This record gives sequence, C-alpha cells and structure tokens, in this order.
Amino acid sequence: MTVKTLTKESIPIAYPILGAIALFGAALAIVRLTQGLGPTTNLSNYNPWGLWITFDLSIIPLSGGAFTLAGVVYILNRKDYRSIAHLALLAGYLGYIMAVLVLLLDINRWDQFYSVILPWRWNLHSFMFEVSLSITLYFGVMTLELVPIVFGRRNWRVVRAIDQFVPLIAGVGVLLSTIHQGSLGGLFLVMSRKLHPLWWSPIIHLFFFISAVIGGLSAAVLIAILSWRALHKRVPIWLLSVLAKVVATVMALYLVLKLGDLLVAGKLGLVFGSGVYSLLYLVELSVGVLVPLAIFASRARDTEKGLLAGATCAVVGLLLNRAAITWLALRVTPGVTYFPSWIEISISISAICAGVLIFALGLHYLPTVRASVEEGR
Amino acid sequence: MAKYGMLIDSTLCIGCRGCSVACKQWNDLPATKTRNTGTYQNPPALSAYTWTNIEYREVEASDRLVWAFLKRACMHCEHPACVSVCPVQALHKLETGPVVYEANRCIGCRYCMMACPFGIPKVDLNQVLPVISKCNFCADRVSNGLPPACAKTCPPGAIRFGERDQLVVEAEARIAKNPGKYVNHVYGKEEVGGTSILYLSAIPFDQLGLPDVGTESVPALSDAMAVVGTPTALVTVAAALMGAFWVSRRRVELASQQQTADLFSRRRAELADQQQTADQEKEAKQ
Amino acid sequence: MTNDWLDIKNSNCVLIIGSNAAENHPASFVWINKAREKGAKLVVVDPRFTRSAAAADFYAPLRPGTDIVFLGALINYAIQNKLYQEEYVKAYTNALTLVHPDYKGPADLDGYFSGFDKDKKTYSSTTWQYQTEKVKVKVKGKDASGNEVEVEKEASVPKQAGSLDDPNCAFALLKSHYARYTPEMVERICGTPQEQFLEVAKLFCATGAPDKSGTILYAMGQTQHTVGTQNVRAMAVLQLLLGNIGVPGGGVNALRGESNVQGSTDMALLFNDLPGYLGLPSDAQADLKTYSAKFDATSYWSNGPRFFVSLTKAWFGNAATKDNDYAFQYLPKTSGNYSWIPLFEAMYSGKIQGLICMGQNPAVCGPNARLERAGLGKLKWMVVMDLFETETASFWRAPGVDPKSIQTEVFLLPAADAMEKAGSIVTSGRRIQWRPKVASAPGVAKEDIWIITQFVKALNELYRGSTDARDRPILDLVWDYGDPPDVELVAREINGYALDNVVDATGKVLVEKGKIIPSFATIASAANPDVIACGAWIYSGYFVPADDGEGKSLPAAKRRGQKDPGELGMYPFWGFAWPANRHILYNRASARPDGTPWSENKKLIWWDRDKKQWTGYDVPDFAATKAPDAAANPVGVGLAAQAGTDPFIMKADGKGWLFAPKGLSEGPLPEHYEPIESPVKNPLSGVQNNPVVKVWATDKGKGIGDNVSTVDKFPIVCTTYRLAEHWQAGAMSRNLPWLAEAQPELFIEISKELAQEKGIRAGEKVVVSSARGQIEAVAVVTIRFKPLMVDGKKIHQIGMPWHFGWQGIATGPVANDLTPHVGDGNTMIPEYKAFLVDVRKA
Repeated sequence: MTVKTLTKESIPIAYPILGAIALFGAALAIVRLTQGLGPTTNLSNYNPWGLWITFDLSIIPLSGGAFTLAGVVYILNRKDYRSIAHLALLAGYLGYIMAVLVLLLDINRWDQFYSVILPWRWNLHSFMFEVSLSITLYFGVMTLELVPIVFGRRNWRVVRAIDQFVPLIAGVGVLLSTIHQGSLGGLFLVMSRKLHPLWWSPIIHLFFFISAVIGGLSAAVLIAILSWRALHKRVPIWLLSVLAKVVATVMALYLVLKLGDLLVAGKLGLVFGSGVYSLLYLVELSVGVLVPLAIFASRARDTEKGLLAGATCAVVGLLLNRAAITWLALRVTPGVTYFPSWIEISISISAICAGVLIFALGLHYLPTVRASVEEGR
Repeated sequence: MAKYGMLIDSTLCIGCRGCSVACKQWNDLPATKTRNTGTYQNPPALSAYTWTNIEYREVEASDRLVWAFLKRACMHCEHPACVSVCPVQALHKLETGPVVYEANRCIGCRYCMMACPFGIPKVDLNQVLPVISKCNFCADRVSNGLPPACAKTCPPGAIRFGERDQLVVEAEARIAKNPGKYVNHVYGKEEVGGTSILYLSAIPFDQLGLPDVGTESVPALSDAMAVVGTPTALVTVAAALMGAFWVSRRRVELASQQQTADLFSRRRAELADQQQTADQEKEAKQ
Repeated sequence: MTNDWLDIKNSNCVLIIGSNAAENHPASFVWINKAREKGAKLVVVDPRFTRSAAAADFYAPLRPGTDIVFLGALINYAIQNKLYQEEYVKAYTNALTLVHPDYKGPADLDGYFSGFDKDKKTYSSTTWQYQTEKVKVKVKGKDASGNEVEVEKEASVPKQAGSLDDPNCAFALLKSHYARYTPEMVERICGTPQEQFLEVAKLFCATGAPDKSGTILYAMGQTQHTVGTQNVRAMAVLQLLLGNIGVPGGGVNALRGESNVQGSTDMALLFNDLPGYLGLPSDAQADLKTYSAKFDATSYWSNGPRFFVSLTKAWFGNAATKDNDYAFQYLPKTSGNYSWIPLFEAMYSGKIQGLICMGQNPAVCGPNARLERAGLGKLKWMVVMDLFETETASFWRAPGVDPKSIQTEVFLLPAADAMEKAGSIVTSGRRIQWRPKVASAPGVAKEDIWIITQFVKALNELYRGSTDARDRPILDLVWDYGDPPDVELVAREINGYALDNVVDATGKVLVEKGKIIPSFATIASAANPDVIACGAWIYSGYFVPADDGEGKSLPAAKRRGQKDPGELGMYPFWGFAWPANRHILYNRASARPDGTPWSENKKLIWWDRDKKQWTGYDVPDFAATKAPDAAANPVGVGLAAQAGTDPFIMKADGKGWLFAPKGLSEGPLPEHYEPIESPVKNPLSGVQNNPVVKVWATDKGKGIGDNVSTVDKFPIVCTTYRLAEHWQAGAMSRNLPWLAEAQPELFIEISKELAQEKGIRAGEKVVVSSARGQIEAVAVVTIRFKPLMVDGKKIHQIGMPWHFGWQGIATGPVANDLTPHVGDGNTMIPEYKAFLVDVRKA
C-alpha cells in the first residue's frame, strides 16, 4: 500500500504512520521533560527503574550486531559480510540513538549529564560509569564507521581518511562494546539480594556480553532478511547461514556457562523449584536458546524460514532475559509492583517506530546502503 | 580524626518523633500533606522531604504486647553501595562517617536507589529536575563536633552519638548488663560490612523492620569486577583482536603471496609452454 | 509535684497511672531511664497500651474511671501484706489519731459516709472529725503589772490511739474501708486480670521498704473524673503508707500539661483562689477577722492572714490600711461555684454579657463543646487574646454555623508567644525559671502584660472622678510597672519588697524601705508585716540576688548553676523552687523521728547535732533549727504547736492525712463511684455515682443540652487523651506544618475485636456519637486497645485525641462535642476521661 507525498511520489503507507507515531512520542517526551517523571511515569521511590531501563538494556544488545559484524568485516577481513555489516551498523546506530534519547528522558538530571565526561568526577568503581563513558565513546566510533556509509559516494577526503583507519576504529568499537555490553550486566552485581537467584550471578556481566553477541547477530540476521525482502532482492542465505552457525556455537557456550554457573552455586534446584520464576526462566531458556540452537544447528539454517524463525526466537529470548532482569525477577521493594504507564509505553513504541522509519528511509535512499544490499557485498 | 556513629536503642525509644521534626527543622525540609491511613505512622515513609521517620509496629509476643518504634534513616554504611555505584561521585563517605551527597554532580540515574540494600535514597519525581535526598548525618554539625539534630533532641536518650567503635563496645555492654532484655545482636556492627548507625532491639530485628542484609559488603563484588575485571577484559579482548587481526592479515598476505606465487608459476608454466611450443615449431620447420 | 522531674531518677519503681508521660512529657524519660539504668522498674497502668506502656517493664490495663478501685486495692495489698513503712506511718501520719465514734463509712452505709444530706446532696463532716482531748499547759506570761508569771492554759489536741489495732484509729478505718478492695474486685470492676494487678502491686508496694522509694506520675487521667480529687487522694494515701513522701525518688507527682500551668495555678488562675493558695474570701466571710479565722492556727497556715495583707498591699498600696481591713472589701467574694462548667451554663442561659478569653480555646477544649459554643453565641461581646485565630475566635463562622445567627461581637487581640516576651515559667516541680525574650512578636502582637496594662489604663480613664465605692478597686489599683510595662518590676512585686522599713519584735530593721524581701519568712516574723507588699508569698525569694554556685550573683530564678551537691538532681543553683528553694516537699519525713536518715541511699536532710540545725542536700521544708525531739506546744501559734516529728507543716496536726477530716466534699477516704456515664451498675456499693456531683439539666433532652445517657443507648466506653505531636486545643501545633504532617487528622483508637464486630477497617471513616453529639474520625485499629471483662460483661472501649478543630493546617472535628458537662465534686474539673459512646462505619 502506498500513499502519495506532496511531491507526488509514492511512499509506503507505513512511513506516515510510523512518522506520526514517532512525532506523538516526541510530543510526549516534551511533556515528560516539562512535567517531570512523577505525573508521566509509574516510576517511584519504590521502583526507580522501569520500562525505559528495560528498553535500553534490550535495544543495546540487539544493536550488538554492529560491533560483532564490524569486527568480522574489518578485523577478520571477511569482506563478503560487508553488506550485512552496513545494515547492522545503520540499525545499530539508530538503536543506540533511540536508547540514548530514552535514557535522557529517564534520568532526572539530564541537564547535568555532562558530569560523566568530566574526568575528575569519574568513579572507576562504578559500572554505571563504565556504561556511560563507553557508550558515549562508542557513539563516536559508530559515527566514524557510518560516515563512509552515508557519504561514501561523495568521496570526501575525510571519508578516505577514515577508510584508512577502519580496522583500528572497528577494533576500538569492539573493545568499547565488550565493556559496555558487559557493564550493563555488571550493574546488577550489586543487587544480589534483589535479583532472583536464577538470573543473578557473579559473572552476570559475562552473560550479558555473550547474549549481546547472540542477540545482536540474530537481530542482524533478522534485519538483513527483512531489508533484502524490502528491496525485492534475493536474500544471501549462504552468508546468513554461516552467521547462524556462529550464533549456534555461541549459544551452546552460553548454555553450558549458564547451567554450569547454576550448578557451581548450588542453585540448579531452583530451575524447577521457583514457581512462576521457574516458568519464566524455562520459557526464556527455551525460546531464547534451546529452540534457536536446534534450528541453527540443523540444516534449517540454510532456509529463509529457518533463519527467520531462529533469529526471531533468539531476539525474543533476549527481550525476555532483559525484562526478567530489569523488571519481572527484580524485587526492589518487597510488596510493591510496577507496571509502566501509557506514556512510558508510548514513548518506547515511538522510539522503535522512529528507528524503523529512519532505517527504512536509509535503506531506500542512502546510495551506499542500497548499493551494498543490491550488490550483496 | 574520629569516625562517628549513632547507637539507637529501640527499647528506650518512645516514638515521640522529636528526631524527625528536629531533622526537618535543621535541614529546612518542608512538610508534606498526609492522611491518617489507620496508623500513627506519618509521613508514611522516607521521601525526598523526610530524611528520618519513626515506624510503628504492633507485635503480639507470647507473654506481652510490644509496640515497636523504629527510627529509619540512612545507615551510613562503612562500605556504601551508593558511593560505589554512583558514576559521577555525587555520593561519598567522609572520614568522620557521614555519607554525603552533592547535588550538582548528580545525573539522576537512580542507580544509588537501586543499589542501596536499605532502600534509603529518595527522590521527588514530581519535580522537573529533582535531586536525591537522604539523611546526611548532619555532616555540617558533625564536622564541627556537634551531634546530629536527631541525637541532640532525643528526649529519652535513645539515640547516642559518639565514636562508632566505642558505640559498638557500649552496645555490647548494654546487652551483657541486661540479660534477656535485648536480642543478642548489635545490628549494624557487621551488617553489609558494618554501618555507622547501630541498633539494639528487644524483639527480632526483622520484626522491628530492619532487613536481613547479610554481612558481606554490598559493592565488594561489583567494585572488584569493575576495578580488576574491566581492565583485564580490555587487555584480553584487545590482545585477542590484535591477534585475530594479525592472523587474518597474515592469511590474506599468505593468500596473496600464494596467489602471486601461483601467478608466477602459471606464468612461468605459460612461458615454458610457449617456449616449448616455439621450440617445437622451430624443430618442425627444420 | 511534691518532688521534681530530675528526682525521678532516684526512684526504685516508677508508676505511671492516669498519665502517658512518654507521649506528653517525653523529656521525663531522661530521668525515668536513668532510674532504670540503676535497676528501677517502670510500671504503666492505662486503659490502652500507650507509648509509655511500650517503654514499660510492666503494663496493666484498667477501665477508665476505676482508678480508685485499683489504687485502693494497692492500699489494701500494702496493708494486708504488711508492706507499709510502719515506723513512718506511726510517726508521720494521722494513722494513730482517733476518729469520731459516730463515723461510719461506705462498708457500713452501702456506699455513703456518715453525715449525708440527701436533699442538699452535701455531707456534713461532723462525724469525720478527730476525737480530741484537753491538755493543760503551763505557759510563761506577764501579769497586769508586768511580772513574769506562769499561767495554765488549756488546749484541745487530737486524741491518739495506743496502737494501730485500735478500731477507731484512722489506720484501722482505712484498713476496714479498703478491705473490700480485693484483687477480685479489681478484676471485676477495672477489668484488670488479677495476676496483672498483683504484679503491679508486688512491684510498687516493695517500695514500702525504708531503703526504697517509689514515685507515682499522674496527669489528667487521674484528675478529669467526677472523682478526680479522690483519685489524687488515693495516690497520696498509698504513698504515705509506703513512706514515699518527702524522700528522694518518691512523691505524688502531677505532670502539668502546659509549660506554665503550675505558675498559673500558683498565681490563682482558678476562680476561688488567691495567689499562693490563700483562697478567695467567700460571701460568708464578711470581714478580714472572719476570713483570717479559717487559717489553721496550728500549722504554717497560721501566717495566712499576714500573707493576705501583704498581697492586698501589693495590689492596693497605701489604699489598703488597717482601717479598711486592708482593702478586704475591694475583693470580689465567691457566692457559689463559678468554675468552668457553671460559667458556661450561665453563658448558655444568657446571664453573661461579655467574656475575655486569654490563651484559651473553649470551643475545642470545653466539655459538651456544642453547648459551650452555643453559650459563646449568647454573649454580647467576646475578647480573644491568642497567637492565632482559634476556633473560639471564629466560633461564629464555624462549619455549619450561619454568621448571621450570631450576635456576639468578637474582638481578636494578637498576643505574643512565650519566646517573644521575658518572664518566668514554673515547671511541674515548682522550679521557677526566668526566660529572656529571644524573638520579636510578628506584626502588632503584644505581650499579655502590655495588653492588660492598656485595659487598666483605659478603665482608669473611664472611672476617673467616680465617687462610687464599687469603683475604688480599679481606681486604687497600684499599677506602677512603667509604660511600656517592665515585667521585672512585676517580678519584684511578686517576690515582695518593703514599702517601709520592716522591723522585728525588738525593733531591729530586717529589710530597708524599698528593698526586696529575702523570703516569706520575713512576712511571718515581721512585727509590721503590713509594710510589705508581696504578690505571691510562695514565690518570695525567687527574684532575690543569689549565688549561682559559680561565683555569680543574680536573681534566683535567672540562675543556671550546674552544681548538684548530693547528685540527687536538686540543682539548687538552677532557678528557684518554691517554697524557699525546697525541691522535695515535706522532706523532714526523709529522716527518722530521731533525725537520722531512714536509709543511707535515700538520705536527703538530717539533723546536725553539733550545729543544731537541719542539713543535707535540700533546703529543709521545716523550721531549720527545730530539733527532732522538740516538743509540740499545744497552745503555741503556728509551727510552735507542732513537734520536731511533724513533717507536714501545712496541716493543722503536722501529720500526713491517711484519713481526711476536712477539705473534701465527698468523704474522708476515697471511695469508688462509677463515672456519670458508666457501662455497669457499681459493683462495689449501692451508690452509683459520686453523690455530691452536680449534674446539670439545662435543655435536657434537646439537641444541644446537658444530656447524659446510659449503656443501653451508648454501649462503648470512651476516653479522650493527648498526642505527642499536638498540644491542647491545637492552635499552635495544628498550625505548624511538621506537626500537622505527623498527625494530620482526628482518629479513634479501636480494638481489633470491636472493629471486626462493626465491620470497620483501619483507615476507614467512622462516626462516633454520644448523648451530646456526633463526629467523624478515622479508625486506627489496634491490638493496644482490648475489650475488658467487667462484672461478667464484655465492655468495649475506644479513645481519641481531642486536639482538633476547624482552624489551622491539620483540621478535624471537635472531640469534645461528645464529652459530658459534669465535673469533679471538689474542683468541678470536667469528666473528659470516661463517658459512653457508640461507633459505626461512616
């Protein structure tokens, strides 16, 4: 379905719909900034972290395909994955932008956010510091990585300069991502009595990093398939199935580590003995690991349907994991539950819509991206 | 410099709330609108404007009735989770004991609220740019040798201000001198690695409202991971990346060398073939 | 208090009954806790488990209005188990004094004492008097020619029994009176389980030992009953039996409810008194001679007439002369009971034109407040002097009132707060402390002394030139405190100063003209006491420069000396305790009859054989040089008629009265009667209520009126009380944001059982109703209130604070809309503490 724009061009009807939702979200964001968090969210002294934290902690690992694939392309020098990397990078960049915008809405002192870049205020003991600084720096890295993609055709000097250092830039990106993907999990090390023992672990930051690789690559596979389809091009299954194989391997490692961790801590009994939390855990494990592992370890990874199914499950699994850790299995104040307000939900949805819209526009109108998809490299 | 603490003997507390009002007066905190929800407890909980509060609990013990009063406020931990987790050092622990907050550094991430095992830091989210609020142990008074407002005002002397280590000794002496009166435990002596605020109680502490938080320092693991783990990870990953980069470049180099070598050998073979053909043709002409 | 706040730390057992000290006098817990550090026990007896009970070692419940049963049973327990301090009782109380042979008590007359006039509803105390005997005394005197002769004089003295077993002695009558007050009776009437009562008895009566002392802390829970005065008497009797009066850590100690209510009562705020408790003359006392005759000739009160004269000299100066009976006729005389309740009854009946209401809020604190507010509406004018516009000042526009229906003209004069003016404040322990002004009053608010001075000036203007004898009291009033008035000049006058040289019998000048007198002893010993002006004899000495123990000399009440010889908490250099800086009254009783202390750890004052005077850690409440073995002179005047073993110098016989021959309207011994609104028939006797109490009947049966009801209509017992966070009628505390935050609304405390019966949940609104009105409140459901089994019936009780009104930040209905318009048989203090209500969900 298409609609006609003012210039009589035909654009899919999805664009104005997504745009409207995004604008609505922007308006709500202004309301939040002028009215405060109290009237607009269900956050409180009893539940200081809510949907937007879950949102951030989900979007960022799902954007992890950017660093992983940048590493594959520029460090491992597998140029054939460049097209997928460009998509992952663009989507990841948009994901990070949305995450940071939502974060700025979530914190109560966005006017003092510059505090995190003042070195004399840095607290090296704090994972929140690591997250803030490394995300800020990673933004710079991603921008550098994206410049050639966005402006590549123009052959500017700066583009060529960046191209020279791309492996270094990508390497720094991997380092920074390792830090902050892990640190997002490290945030919860201090909440050992508040987070349910099935999810808390002294190596929770390692789990966050690994699940970011899994989730990021799976999301990249998903985005790749949808993008190729959108441009009516043949999906490069051969590339994607290799990625799926990598994901399967990492998932197996993840599974072993997670179960091993529970075993060593003597918590294996909780897997089935925690009532509703057992259910949540088992669903997360099945949907997020067991099912996609089975799919990706089999020949199904050579089919588009298989890839879609596996990738979707992995992404959903990651969302369940983050939702559990930041909300459902986290008991901040005994007896006081939290459910996001309609404004929190709306802004989150709007952010996603905005990201999807810009991505779609980029896909169609950025020559480099379009070319790399069409040419399959 | 002495490290101070407060010993709160809940058996001496009469729930008069002098401490709570003195705190508001000294810190210029406003009153909030409250309703009576069926209890004496008002304000109902700590908040941005209530830094200490008395909680009222009625407990029917086997032989008698107990109306337990708990003065709740920041514990000023020896190993504060909030100080460890704040990204911009907006919270820090003074040598004299108080854990204080600097509003102009705060970015409002509310991590301190999530990390505190006692749920102490509070914020007024109805303000557009609110700050974190909590008891600051009257740091301004303490650093001038004066007791905090609550300790100064406490009419029955339930709050004792002094050097923390001496207060631990005093608390244990009180337990020893009055067998059967107190629960045999000084809460805060070792809780979360020790806190500046200590409690004595006649009823089990969880009935009084003080949670079982264990004796491990809350941020110890997180701290160690951040300070030791992160650099380790950085170094490891950097090494791995450099190794992978070198390996992949080497492979490319080797592949290109191989290609060149193949090219050369093909060319030589071609040339050899050509030579051979030329030679053969020359032979045939003769 | 007979003792002092700090003295509580010297006690071995602190009994809190009819008080919630932790709630309303939290600072007392410093001293209570110091006592407990030394092993003392804290016992709390209260209808509900209060904040004091939470801190106590032992708590026992009792039904509101049944204190005499409880205390009487303690008396009985002490007597039956021989825990009373026998030597003390025999030597210092009237235990051995024989009582009129026709005396009969409630045990014989089913609730009455002998001498009751059923029509007039009063007692004649003839049969309560002591038996007397005549003694002959040889007295040295001078005959007509001036020669020294010995004359034989005859005097009447109380007859003493040989032993405590004599059935007519006061002790025996006490014993047989309280024999009915058994632990079973306590359980039956008070609802207190016997074991709990016995535990209290065991703990407290142990202080009868000579080396132990127990203190009783009480407040409105004892006094605000129709038997309030007898409640206090019961405590006094118990303490006398246990030897706890006049000793450190003992005493009958009223915890006063306002910071200067002690000062107010000392300065005769009450309608029938004069400063220093001299008593206002009544219509029956036509002249000074008749009035003077009412003072006991054989106690320190023999000086009463002198103190009276110095008082009128202070007020009227040179206009008070011997010829006009020292302005005796200038004073109004009581022709009846003009206490609070009759006053408002008169107002309600339209008999009163105008009211000046100073720092009082009757609209909230008055009993049957709806009737009292209606009474205010019948005035032609009212002047309110207060810090805020109180409910009284705004009664004409209260919620539900149409201002057009009220014709009263109301003037509101803003007054300065206690911190905004200099002056003295007297603690419950009679300690006078001078306070400087530390803040400025806002706007046009003025100190009371300024406002009253303006009244005096204006009245003087109005009356100037009048020849009417009725106006002389105004025109002759001495008001020389300056303009604006200097409160220290007032202080000087209250202390007393010499209008002319004061001389003794030999003509020696004791005090020069214009100088302040050192103490009331000057008035007692002067040959010409009528040159002394003294505004309150009991305070005399408080403004005299004295050493603060650290070398500085300043007016006694201004001292803040930190020395405490003896470490009993006397702090003799801090402020000034009336009388004469005596901290523990009747402290002669802290020593044996021979002058040595009862016990080393309770020594307070003792006789120094060498210096031939009493010495120790307190100023002796006794003639300083009177030997322990000094004999009484039956024909002597004043203290000469008392022996060296008579500590109770204000009593005609120098003894503590176990049995009170006079002074109380309803009997010489406290007897239990039910509150006017009671849930049961009096199980103890056939007399349901205090027989001398006046029960008004104005507009009985109407919507607003003197309505009193019964348990079938209002089955729940109700009591009112105070909170730590609010204060009295709430004008100050409900206007303070932090306090309003802590206690924002009127609530009732209701037991879980009753709440369940009525389907009431915590936090829900309920309606409480009585025969006098109904109000809404929030329900605080608690295990601290329990129903009591009384005489086989389950009785529910609820309670509520009475601080709320419609003004201020924290508002709420007026709890006193529910209380009855009845008062104590002697003081008319309203029965706020025990009445009947019903409760239902709103």
